[in-house]
Amino acid sequence: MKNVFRMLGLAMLFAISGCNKAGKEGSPKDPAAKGGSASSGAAGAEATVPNGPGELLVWVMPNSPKPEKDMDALLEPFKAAHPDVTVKISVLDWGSAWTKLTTAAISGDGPDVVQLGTTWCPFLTDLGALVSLDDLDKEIHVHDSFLPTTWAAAKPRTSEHVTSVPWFIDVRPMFYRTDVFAQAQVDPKSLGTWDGYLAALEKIRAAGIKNNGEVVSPIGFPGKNDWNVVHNFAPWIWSAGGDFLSPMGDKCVLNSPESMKGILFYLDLVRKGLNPKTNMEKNTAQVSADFDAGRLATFFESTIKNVYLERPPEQGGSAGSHVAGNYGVLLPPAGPAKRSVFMGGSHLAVFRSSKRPDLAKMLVRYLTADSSAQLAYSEISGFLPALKSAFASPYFSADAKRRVFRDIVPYGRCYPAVPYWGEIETAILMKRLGNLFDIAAEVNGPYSEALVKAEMDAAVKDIDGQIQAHFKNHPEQVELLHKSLAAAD
Amino acid sequence: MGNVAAAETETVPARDPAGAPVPTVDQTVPVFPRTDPKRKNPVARLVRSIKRHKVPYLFLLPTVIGMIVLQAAPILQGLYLGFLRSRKDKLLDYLSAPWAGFENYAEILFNPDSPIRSGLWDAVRNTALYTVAVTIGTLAVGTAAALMVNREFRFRAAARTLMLFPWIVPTYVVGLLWGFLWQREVGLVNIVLVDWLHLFSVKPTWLIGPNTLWAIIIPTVWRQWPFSMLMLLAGLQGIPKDVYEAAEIDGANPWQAFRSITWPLLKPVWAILILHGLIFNVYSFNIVIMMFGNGAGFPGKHGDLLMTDLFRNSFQMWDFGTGAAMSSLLMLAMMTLVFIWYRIFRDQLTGK
Repeated sequence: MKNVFRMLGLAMLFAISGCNKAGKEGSPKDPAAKGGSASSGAAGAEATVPNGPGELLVWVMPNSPKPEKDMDALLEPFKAAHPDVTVKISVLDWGSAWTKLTTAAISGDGPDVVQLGTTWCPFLTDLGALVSLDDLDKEIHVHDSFLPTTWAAAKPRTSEHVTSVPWFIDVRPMFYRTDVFAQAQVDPKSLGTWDGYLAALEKIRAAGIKNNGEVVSPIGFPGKNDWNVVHNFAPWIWSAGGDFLSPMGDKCVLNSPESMKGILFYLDLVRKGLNPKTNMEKNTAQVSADFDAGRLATFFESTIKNVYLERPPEQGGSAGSHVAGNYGVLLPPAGPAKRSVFMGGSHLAVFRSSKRPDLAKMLVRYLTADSSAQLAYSEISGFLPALKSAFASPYFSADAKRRVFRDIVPYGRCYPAVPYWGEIETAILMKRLGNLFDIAAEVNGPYSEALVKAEMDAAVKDIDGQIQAHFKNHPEQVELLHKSLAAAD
Repeated sequence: MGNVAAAETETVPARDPAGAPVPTVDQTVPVFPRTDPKRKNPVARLVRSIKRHKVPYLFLLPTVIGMIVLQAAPILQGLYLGFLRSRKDKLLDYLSAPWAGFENYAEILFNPDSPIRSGLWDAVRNTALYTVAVTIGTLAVGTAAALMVNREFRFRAAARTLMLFPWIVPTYVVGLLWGFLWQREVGLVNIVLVDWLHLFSVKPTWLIGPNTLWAIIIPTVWRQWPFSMLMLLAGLQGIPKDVYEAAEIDGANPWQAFRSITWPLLKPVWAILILHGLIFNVYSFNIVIMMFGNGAGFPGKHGDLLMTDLFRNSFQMWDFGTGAAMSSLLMLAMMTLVFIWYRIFRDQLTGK
């Protein structure tokens, strides 16, 4: 409670300081400032000169090995075009970013440009923390220029404005060991479907290949003590034809037969011993290190892993290691319904508190709509561009692994862009899907599908309750949801 | 807690830190006879007292201001928040969020279908077991260690210093560190217990399932026992040597000396340590959050504590009203506990 109170106390202090500011600049509850501050020009006349001298504060996450330096290098062309403008880069940690962002939203004392995880966009939009980017959208055409999976977060389903522009995307191909596959006589092409994947994993296990005296595990997935629990379940659920929420986004369908099929397939990898139970105690970083050490034959990881494996050790990579010389990448296997991969990523948005929103928009425009900036950042970070035209570069066609990355993109899928997704994911799904690992590991008694079903029934109950509570407070959003669904069709 | 504070402030006006020749606590009583109307009015009494002891009250002022700003104000607004419908969409309204009355309390106490109730009982049970086990554990280990380092031996000072090491490790580091130690295959705990000592035939899983509770109790005891040792050591050194010498002359063996001298004379220290253990461990957060995914993930049915549950419900569900109501209920429960504690140990603390 001490912690909670301390944070609340802090929030109060910020709220007080924020109120003073708001008094001068117009209340944050002012609908003109909230809904579409840019379109209504609420930013103030003195700040609308885009080319005058000034300072822009940009908040980014550690997306690349040297986040600050890399961003500075990336922004060279922008700085050359705007010599009067100083751009200050602040690197936030993913763990604390959310608290800092919401505090900044409450206090009104935030950066100009901010990197947002896709799942944060709807909530911050709802909160009125982001400036409308409709005018920028008219110039860069988010709908035509960027990958379709990114649209939803750019203009959340309960919003009438574009509030963020896609910056980069994060997809997870399958990484595999070419030498282990050769030894076990597994053809990588046979891994195109769930059945083929399962057969290959069994074959690798039967071959009993050893690495430094340890048996190489067919696959490595982390357990529940990890940020990626929901992301790891998602592709299996979607590929089986299931989903988290109904198409309307107003009901949870995690206990449907299709969703259950995907969940059970994923859990079966543990049950059959293909993913060793010891991995259930590990997080993504530990499993990823296991792959580097040669303990895994296959595993799913973001494309940034590729950059790490290609980069020389003096730059923090592992090029030259045994694994770095013996790995390949594949499209994740297709399920009974389709092939679907989880797609995350980040958007850039302009904070409501920005004193130079028009300049901030130009910076967003440079980072997102400039093909060479998109490509340059992909090369440094390993994430993929969000801009469609960037994929035409030979950077993606000349290399076999990057060709796979490019080919995965159309299978990418995001979580529903609804403002209540955040708490569904972090508070409910993390817990309920995490509990499935306990059931699979049989820590509380023998495993049964009925136990899995019961846990998912409980998840549906929790989530439906949460959604109902949201609509009770926001009856006006029901109609917006209907409208956005009709537009999607 | 409230009682202790009250007890302290009551005695303060009677004392004179400046050392002026004023009557002591007991002697002040006859100065104000019961019939004096001014005595019945506490405000008038306080004003009178302030007038009489201006300088001491001036010295108290910074503390009083500090307590109002840093403690009273957040506690009051926390209590107030519990009566508001403060969800994420009302985040910007903060304390002007819509009034909810007892809605949040009703949700926690009387609605078994409420999402906030899901897993709450597990958290309450785990917290109770955790607090009792950790408090007893730290007291036992701390007492044994204090008795040990209270004896004369070479390098005693070095040993005392070294024993404080676990205590200076921050709790979140303890969580991270033990997260590695508990790993089933590669963790040091299983290597020692199974590979070296052969205590179990199969390597136990610590970080998932019912063992999780032990996986958080043991590191907490490991982190906290040096503090108990330190306090008890101070207590032990406060016992005059001649009492033991007298006991020895009377023919008491070491066990009898412990039973009849050490045990009763250390009781006030134990009382303080039990109180500290109760409060500190019910509000334990860092170890669990760090050991189970650095804030990600769910510690599991057997590892979730009240604080982590409250954190999820407030900061991840974005329901600060219900979170504050839950905190208030917890505070009420804790005050009851402290009251019971005070009734039990009152004699030891007041020296009667």
